[in-house]
Amino acid sequence: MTLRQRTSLILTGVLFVFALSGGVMAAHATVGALRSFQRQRTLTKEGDVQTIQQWMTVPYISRAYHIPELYLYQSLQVPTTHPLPHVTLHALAARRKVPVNMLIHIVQRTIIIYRKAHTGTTFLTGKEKCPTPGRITS
Amino acid sequence: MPDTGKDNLLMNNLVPLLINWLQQYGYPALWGGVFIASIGLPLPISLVFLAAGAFAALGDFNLIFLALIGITASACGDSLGYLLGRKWGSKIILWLQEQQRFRFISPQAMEKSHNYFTRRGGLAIFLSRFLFSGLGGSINLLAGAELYPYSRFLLYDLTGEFLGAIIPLSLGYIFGASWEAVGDILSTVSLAIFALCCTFYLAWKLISQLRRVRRTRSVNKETEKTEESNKETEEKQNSATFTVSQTYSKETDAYLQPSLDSLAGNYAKNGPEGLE
Repeated sequence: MTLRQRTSLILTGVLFVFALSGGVMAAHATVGALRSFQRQRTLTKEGDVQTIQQWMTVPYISRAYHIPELYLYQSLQVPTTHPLPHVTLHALAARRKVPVNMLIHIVQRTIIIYRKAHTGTTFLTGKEKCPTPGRITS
Repeated sequence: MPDTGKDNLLMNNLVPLLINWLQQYGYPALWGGVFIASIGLPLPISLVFLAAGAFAALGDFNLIFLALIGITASACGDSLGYLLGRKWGSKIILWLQEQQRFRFISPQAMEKSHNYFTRRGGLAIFLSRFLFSGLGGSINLLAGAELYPYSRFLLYDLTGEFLGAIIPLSLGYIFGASWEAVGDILSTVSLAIFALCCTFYLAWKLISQLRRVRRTRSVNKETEKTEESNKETEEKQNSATFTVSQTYSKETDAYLQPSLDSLAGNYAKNGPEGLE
């Protein structure tokens, strides 16, 4: 075996080991991602407030969690005369210069309080008249 | 809170920003984002498509419009990347082939890679649109630089981009709020497939190299064996010749001995005259 052949063989072998390890790690990560997806899916189906994310807009939360839009706007202290339907919680937090987790927490608590107060009632459009929520502080 | 990979920088900053643009400016923002990403800027467009699908499920967007915008924007961005590659990349390749002072790649290797891209480039273009989307920008530039026919490029590009837009949009539409977890699955699956392809290719390369080494070794052994057997035959022939010559000399000796003895006797008796 010549020196060139030997070098090429060793190099290919090392790359093969790297690729195999990468494949195993990626497969492991895929299994983890699948489990995480299953968990998240179950929570979403149950309407768990833990699944509220920073990319969600108020209308999205309203439709996905069956809470009136106005109720959410009021709890987030957004003036209902000038609602911001196309703003994500992330952007809203940036505008207000508050941590996004604080807004998520407010929304979560609002939904829980609303559900407690209106068991069995759903507001699909958010246009209906709804009770004024209590002031929620983080 | 479920682990959806939101702790990383991408999910915390870039994706919400892009989604916010999508929500505020609608379809034009999506078109612009996809176009920029297709040129080669590393933007997480698959995640934006997933999110757009999720928003479409609740009526914010029309799924067909989203798909059309995704396909047209990426086709335009890819074409621009291809044109840039064709204009500048081909000149660089030509310079690399022609210049003599700093030769990083041999002209043979360049020719080989050009031929390979002409044969397999279509598959690379197609797969880099939806499966290995991280390579899309580089493949566009390379296709242009290698002067790959534009009509074929566009065909593979559109087919791949169709899947590249439809798959995440549909998944976002189906799974809604869980799109982040779906995005995680897609990226890990893509990585796993890429690693698997590399593993298979390297395994094939390793096996063929080992075979070549084994073949060379067996050829060497055979040559050695042949040489050895040749040597043995030669030695045998030599020894046979030697035996024959030895036997012949013995026979000659036995034949000549009496006359030599008589000559020696004559010499002893009569001196040099006795030999005449």
